[in-house]
Amino acid sequence: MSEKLRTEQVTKRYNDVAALQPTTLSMRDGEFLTLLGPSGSGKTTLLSLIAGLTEPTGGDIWIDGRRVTDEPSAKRGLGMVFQNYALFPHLSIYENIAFPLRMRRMGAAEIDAAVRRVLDLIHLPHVAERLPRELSGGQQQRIALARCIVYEPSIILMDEPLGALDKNLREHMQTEIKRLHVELGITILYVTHDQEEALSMSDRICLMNNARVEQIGTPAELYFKPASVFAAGFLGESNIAPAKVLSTGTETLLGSADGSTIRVAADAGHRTDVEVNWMVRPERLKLIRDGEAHENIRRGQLLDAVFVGGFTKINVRLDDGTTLLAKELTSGQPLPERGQSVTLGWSAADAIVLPPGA
Amino acid sequence: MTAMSARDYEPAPVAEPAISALQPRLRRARPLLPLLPLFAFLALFFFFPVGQILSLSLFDQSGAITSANFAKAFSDPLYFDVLLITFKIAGWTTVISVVGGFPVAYYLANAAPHSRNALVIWVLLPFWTSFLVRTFAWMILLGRNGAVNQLLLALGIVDAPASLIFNLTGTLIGMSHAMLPLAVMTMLPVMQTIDGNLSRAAETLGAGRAQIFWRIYIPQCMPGISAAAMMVFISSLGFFITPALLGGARETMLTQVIITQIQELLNWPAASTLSVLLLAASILVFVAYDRVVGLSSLAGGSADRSARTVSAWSRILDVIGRAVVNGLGSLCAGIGAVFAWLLPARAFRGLGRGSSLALFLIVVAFLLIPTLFVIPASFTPGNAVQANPGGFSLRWYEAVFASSDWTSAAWNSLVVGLASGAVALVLGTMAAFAMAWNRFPGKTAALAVILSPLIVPRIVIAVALFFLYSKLELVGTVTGLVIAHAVLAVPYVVITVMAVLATYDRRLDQAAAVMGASRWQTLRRITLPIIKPGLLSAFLFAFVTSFDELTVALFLTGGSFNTLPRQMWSDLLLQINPTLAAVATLLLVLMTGLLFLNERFRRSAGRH
Ligand SMILES: Nc1ncnc2c1ncn2[C@@H]1O[C@H](COP(=O)(O)OP(=O)(O)O)[C@@H](O)[C@H]1O
Ligand SMILES: [Mg+2]
Repeated sequence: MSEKLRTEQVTKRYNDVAALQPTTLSMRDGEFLTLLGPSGSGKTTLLSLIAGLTEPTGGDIWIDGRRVTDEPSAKRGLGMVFQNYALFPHLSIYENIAFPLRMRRMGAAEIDAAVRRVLDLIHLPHVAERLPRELSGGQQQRIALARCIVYEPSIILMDEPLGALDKNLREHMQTEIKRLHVELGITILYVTHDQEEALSMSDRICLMNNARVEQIGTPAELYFKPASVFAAGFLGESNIAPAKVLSTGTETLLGSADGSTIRVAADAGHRTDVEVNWMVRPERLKLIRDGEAHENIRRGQLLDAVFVGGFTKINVRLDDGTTLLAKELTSGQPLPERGQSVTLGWSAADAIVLPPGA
Repeated sequence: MTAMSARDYEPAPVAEPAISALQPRLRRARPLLPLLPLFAFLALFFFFPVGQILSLSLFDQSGAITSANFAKAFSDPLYFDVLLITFKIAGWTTVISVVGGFPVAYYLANAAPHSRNALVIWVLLPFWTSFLVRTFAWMILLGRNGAVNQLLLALGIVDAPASLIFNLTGTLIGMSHAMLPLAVMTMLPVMQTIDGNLSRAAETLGAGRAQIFWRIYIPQCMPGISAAAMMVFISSLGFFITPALLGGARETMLTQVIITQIQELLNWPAASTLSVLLLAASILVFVAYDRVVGLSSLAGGSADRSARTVSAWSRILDVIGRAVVNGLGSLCAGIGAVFAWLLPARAFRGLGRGSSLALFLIVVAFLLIPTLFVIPASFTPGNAVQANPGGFSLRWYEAVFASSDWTSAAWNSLVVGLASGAVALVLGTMAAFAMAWNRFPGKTAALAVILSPLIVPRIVIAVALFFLYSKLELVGTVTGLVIAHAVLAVPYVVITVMAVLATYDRRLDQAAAVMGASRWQTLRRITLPIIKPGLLSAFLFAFVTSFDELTVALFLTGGSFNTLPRQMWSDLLLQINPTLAAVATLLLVLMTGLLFLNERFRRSAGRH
């Protein structure tokens, strides 16, 4: 497994404001890594530092084992797709795509072949002579991609490349980018604030918050083993509540304020009496109808049950006042009435202990 | 790979501490390097000579320090009279230009954006037409047998020809005509931002239309009106073409005296002292304006008074202004009530719109039509300049092209215009890049330095360069005039290019860099081609500034080296003749063509 990109404690400060705290990150060849996080969390800053568009306040960057921290952008051999595409308005589509090749002093015949090939690849062979403003948003997006692919850069950086497209087109382009990633085996560092996009496209996700990395892992790891309340809340829906550690061992036992206990399968690594949070995903909560056994059981009142197609969202208010959200596949079975008493159950393996605080 | 082994990869070079401390600062200063050529240029050919000429006022003819020059300037009744007359003419010009310009700006501000763009051309057209051509047109019109007197006689308004020229009337007509477009263009940005909802809200509260106008609309216009007043007043202080050609002996302004002191008496201390007075007056008006209104309104935004420490002086002016406006408001309310009684509300609204169009047309006609009279005059078969020649002949055009005086002057103007435009474009564009794309301490001061050739009266620059050049032996050379005109034009270039760069998407440059383009390749293949229309527009403006420039040329041309404005000026002083009409017509056509060319550049600059 060869390392394609590495940032080592790379930092960016604007006067006294940290745009990016010291960040260490590594990408392997052919990987699709996504920087995910709310607006202002430092995603663009990290991308610009890697691209050489911003000078770091500290730290180092390696590409293909070469230290590039002090090299200008042009020498780093990267590709980048900008949110607004940054197509050159005065050049035809053909010349836009040929631009990086001309910068590499390739021959005319070679350039022509390469441009035609990528235009075919993105299914737009007929727009070569047009100007960017004569294309639709989705087409411009694909040209921006083609302009990047054409010179086979070492890594392609994409800063919210689908942010300006409507939902249908966005989903279509997600598949398109994934297809190119697989077909061409390129390494992609992708930026988005859309968690579904990140989950569906990435090999790994780097979750960012407050100018630093919150957690790095595969989509499944981030989803099922969030390391913080922020991670649990940002990806997918979750039930999160405070509790105190009662006992540890192969299984952790937590106690809520009202005296009820929660069993968690793993060793949380916390000492007893520490204040923590626990979390369970809504789809892991079961509405118990026939008295089946569960490691965790809670009783409450059904607030409402909302049918949203393939599944049903069920809100339950527990006796201690907290509200839990359960998600069940719609089965056709009759749902309990509003206000009726219901029982929720989940296994100890589905409950997760999170550190206190955000 | 661990952090340790990664560091081993390529050990960081051990820099010497002094260099490593200096390097980041140097690297941060690098984007500002493009400012240096312009600053050096201005230091050498503007700040140094202007400082030198101003300092001459502190010495007597023998070189000893003295205050006698200023004492003489204030005690000599001749100088004092000139000062008074200069202020009087500038003051009246300001009043007429602002009052006349207001309805034009009002109509333009309230027109639909699309038609506004088309209508502004009619104000820009006189703005671009040479002062000399316009003044010449008034000489044709206002003379004893001029078109105006013929009209007045025919209508029976006067029994004998009125004296309209070589007096205060002629001077004020010419100067207002020259300054009206400036007043309109300065007022317009502020008036465009005024929110019509406010007036509508007042209407629902029961205020009469006239009262709304005076109590709500006018106070909102005040930043624009006062900015226009300041610009017109400062520009008028330095005038000499119009008073010299349309005024009499009594209408001698400060600049004319400075010219006489140098060209006829070679009295440097006196010229310097008067220059100091002229500059001081301009700066005083500027500073007073900044204290009272705030310079921000010049940039189109409304002045933010709450943020400023309001001085006692501005509070007094404020109270006076409010009293006047309230008084007018009540007066207008009374008049408005009479109108409302005579006419139903709807008719009054229609009348309001109709009368604002009528006022707009009257003022625009005043701006455009007089200049057109040079055209028929140029086709006269006779030897006299007449607005109504009663015949057609091309003989005066033939005379122009046959005269080596005119053709060589035209050629020189063209060469100087192109060369100084190129110098201003290169220096100004470099500076504009540094200014537009960097934030640095002292940026406002740097901008003030760049714009100062606009604030210092031209006559002061002219005298200063004449003094410098006489030592460098640059008087009467193309090089000398090219440098001088570049000094005058470079602020326009910087402003224009900065405005273009402000809308430029820098991600295009970043995209090019990531794709492997060097800084130079990015500039040459991406940035410059995209901002080309803006650069052409800036160049054109610089060219026209030079092509139409007389004040500086008056001092720096000489011998066989003459420019078109200088040649026209000499002829106009001697005697007006149909050759001048032919030249004026050619210039009118050329400038109109350039204006429309510039509009095309401006529009395609806004398209990307
Ligand atoms: N040029 C700059 N000057 C000052 N602060 C900046 C600059 N660029 C970014 N920042 C700050 O850095 C933080 C991270 O910004 P950014 O990387 O753009 O976030 P994201 O792309 O995740 O939305 C923000 O708080 C932003 O205000
Ligand atoms: Mg961003």
